[in-house]
Amino acid sequence: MSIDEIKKELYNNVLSGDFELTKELAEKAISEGIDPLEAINSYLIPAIELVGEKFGKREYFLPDLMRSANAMKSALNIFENEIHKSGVERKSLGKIVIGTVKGDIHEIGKSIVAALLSAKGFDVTDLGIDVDSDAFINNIIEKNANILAMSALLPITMPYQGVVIEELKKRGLREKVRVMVGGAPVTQEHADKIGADGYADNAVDAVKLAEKLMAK
Amino acid sequence: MEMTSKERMQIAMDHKEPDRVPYQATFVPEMDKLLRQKYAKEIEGIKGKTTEKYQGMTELDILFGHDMLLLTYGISTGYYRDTLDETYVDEWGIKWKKIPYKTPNGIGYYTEIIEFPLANDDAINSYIPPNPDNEDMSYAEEVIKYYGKEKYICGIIDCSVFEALKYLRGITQSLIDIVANKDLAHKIMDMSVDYHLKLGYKLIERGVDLLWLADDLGGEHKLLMSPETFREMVKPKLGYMIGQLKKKNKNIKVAFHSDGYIEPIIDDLIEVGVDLLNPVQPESMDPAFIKKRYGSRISLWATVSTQKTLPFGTVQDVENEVKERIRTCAPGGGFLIAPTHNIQLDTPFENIEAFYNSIKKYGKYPINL
Repeated sequence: MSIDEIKKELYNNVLSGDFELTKELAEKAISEGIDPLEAINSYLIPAIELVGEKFGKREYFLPDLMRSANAMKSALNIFENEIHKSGVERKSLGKIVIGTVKGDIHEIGKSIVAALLSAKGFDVTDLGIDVDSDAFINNIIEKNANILAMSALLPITMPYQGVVIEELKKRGLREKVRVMVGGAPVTQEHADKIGADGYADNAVDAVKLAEKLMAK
Repeated sequence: MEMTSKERMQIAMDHKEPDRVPYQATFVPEMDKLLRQKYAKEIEGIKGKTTEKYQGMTELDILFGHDMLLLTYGISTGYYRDTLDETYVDEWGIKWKKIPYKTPNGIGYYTEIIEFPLANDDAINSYIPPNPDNEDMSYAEEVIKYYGKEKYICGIIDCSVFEALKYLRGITQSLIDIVANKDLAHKIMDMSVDYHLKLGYKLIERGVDLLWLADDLGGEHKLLMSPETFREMVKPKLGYMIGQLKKKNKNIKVAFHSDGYIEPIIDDLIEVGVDLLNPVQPESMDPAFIKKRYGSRISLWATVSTQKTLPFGTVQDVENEVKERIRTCAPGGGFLIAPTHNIQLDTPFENIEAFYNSIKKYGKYPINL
């Protein structure tokens, strides 16, 4: 397989979401001396962005999106390790702590957002589901995070996003971290009400929002 | 002589117009309890449910004159269990957790699955599914003995295909499985299909008129999986189940439930033999459009919003919605009006009354609205 073919196949297999093949291709890319940073920026990211676009246009559905995100992550890990080994660090766009709020165990949307953010170059700490205020705040302090991203999928757990923001204020941390919120019942109106810095309706827009918040 | 509920439903299911639009409703357990307290005198002496395990018919069905009674069986009965414990494990090994919420009418509970018995890929090899022979059929027998002549009886064997995969593997994993782990997905779904098919046979033998299948395939505005994935992974199993059930008794009707937007696969559901589509959620699909486009080939069940109108609307809003649904969905028969889900705990009593009163006011055939 030529270098050009590897690159093309890497892109195609993220699109089709073949986990095993994408992983193999990433390993092959490394052994063939393809620059891992170039592989991420020129093949993985454009492929996953196209997946996001297709999802928006109803050409792709949740299973397709999740499969592609998993395939992309498998290659991303390999390339990031390689970059790390070479002593260089991939330039981080910013540090993000992300999680689904307390009382809520919905993970899909949050995980897709986390995958897209790390593909784009953010340093993402995913705290998982059912995350309480202390866990969010401790991680923000520990990682010196720039952005806190909170997901909530239930009308009854949505208010907890506001609880965490209030807690940030109490501890004098509100000015140090940008807060973005999302989840099916969440709206811009809710985000404004609880004093979040931004809201995104889908994963692709969430990445754009994070970039925008970092530029502020 | 007035038509019985059973006759009324049979005529409606044949896409003809009975004397009035048949109706039915269900309530979340907490609302069910509140209403049973509120109408304690009125329901005295009415034969209702005898066991708390199943969420099927109660005295309220008889009091409110519902045309169809539900008998709930199978994997979905894990969703609600009458227990004081915060968590519980059902016969499938699924661990459920009760999540409380507050409403003006008191505290209610939803449940979430917190442990999926087949989450690990290898777990299926040593997994022993429950035995359908252990389901308590005396409940169905009793209800049918008391009400089977008068009422249309619906046996619920829902959540038996993709939903079962979700319950057993987890939602995230199940969505991956159906595109990337197909053999395992087939194996688990087939296991559940076998179980629920046996249960369906038992219910047919007891004398139900309708069997209700369900798989939530719709998000609010988009299918959860592509139509192609549905056609490859889920549809053949639904077709097999429905074919076998109708082979057992050719007069059996089959209902199918999916919340949300599922328009791209309604033709597929008709093709595999679904007779009655529930709930035609108005937030996701326009019931009038669905009636126009598919109504000669499939009957519609529900259409009255439990997400917006019933809990948050005024009495007048409820009346308007019921009237509009009857105007657009009832002509020609093939329509069973109902709330799109269990009536929720935060629904004002006046709105529940308005739902019934409006059906009485506008639901007489022929419809002239």
